[in-house]
Amino acid sequence: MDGKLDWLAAGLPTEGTNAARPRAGDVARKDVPTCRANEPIGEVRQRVRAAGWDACVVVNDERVVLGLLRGAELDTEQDEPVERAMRPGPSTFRPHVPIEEMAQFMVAHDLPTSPITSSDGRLIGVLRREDAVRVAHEQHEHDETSEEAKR
Amino acid sequence: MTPTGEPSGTLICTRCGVILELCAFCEREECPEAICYRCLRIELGESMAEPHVHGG
Repeated sequence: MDGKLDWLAAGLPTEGTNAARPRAGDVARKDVPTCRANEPIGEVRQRVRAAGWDACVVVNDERVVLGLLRGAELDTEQDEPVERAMRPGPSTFRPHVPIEEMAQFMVAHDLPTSPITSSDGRLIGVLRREDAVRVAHEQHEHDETSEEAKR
Repeated sequence: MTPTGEPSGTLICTRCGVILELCAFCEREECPEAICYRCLRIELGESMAEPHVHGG
């Protein structure tokens, strides 16, 4: 571990006044389907949809994110290998980003899912927009209730 | 052409005005809230300096 930012970026526990606030890594779904770059897209699509997902993260043996398959990419030709259809090198976000910021950005940019990774690129999970918005809203209500209680 | 002289349709960072190929957040060319990677890092707090240079 190189320093405090790497500690946060690895999603490790923290202390202090902001430690209890939800962050991207807390809300990200850890059960997101993953696949390898050389798998046939048809098999991956079947597995992903059977699990109730519309996105799949392409990882290597070390679970480093190589690409992302969202709805449109999953619907490409059956015989194509994943690496031909995936979006390579997708934007990834660290787990310590406050959930309110992620929710705000995901709504403004109309982004349904965002991969959350450690600073060395290993997959932690995938943040879904509806989860981010719901938790951010709950946090906002919690903050308002706390403020009223103090008055 | 826009008032700044850029061809219409050029993607520009909504924070700093730099010309972009893609939005750094959603990776789309047609993003109405396009942001460059530098501004995105600042807004998401990832460019924060080390809290203590001495470590610990």
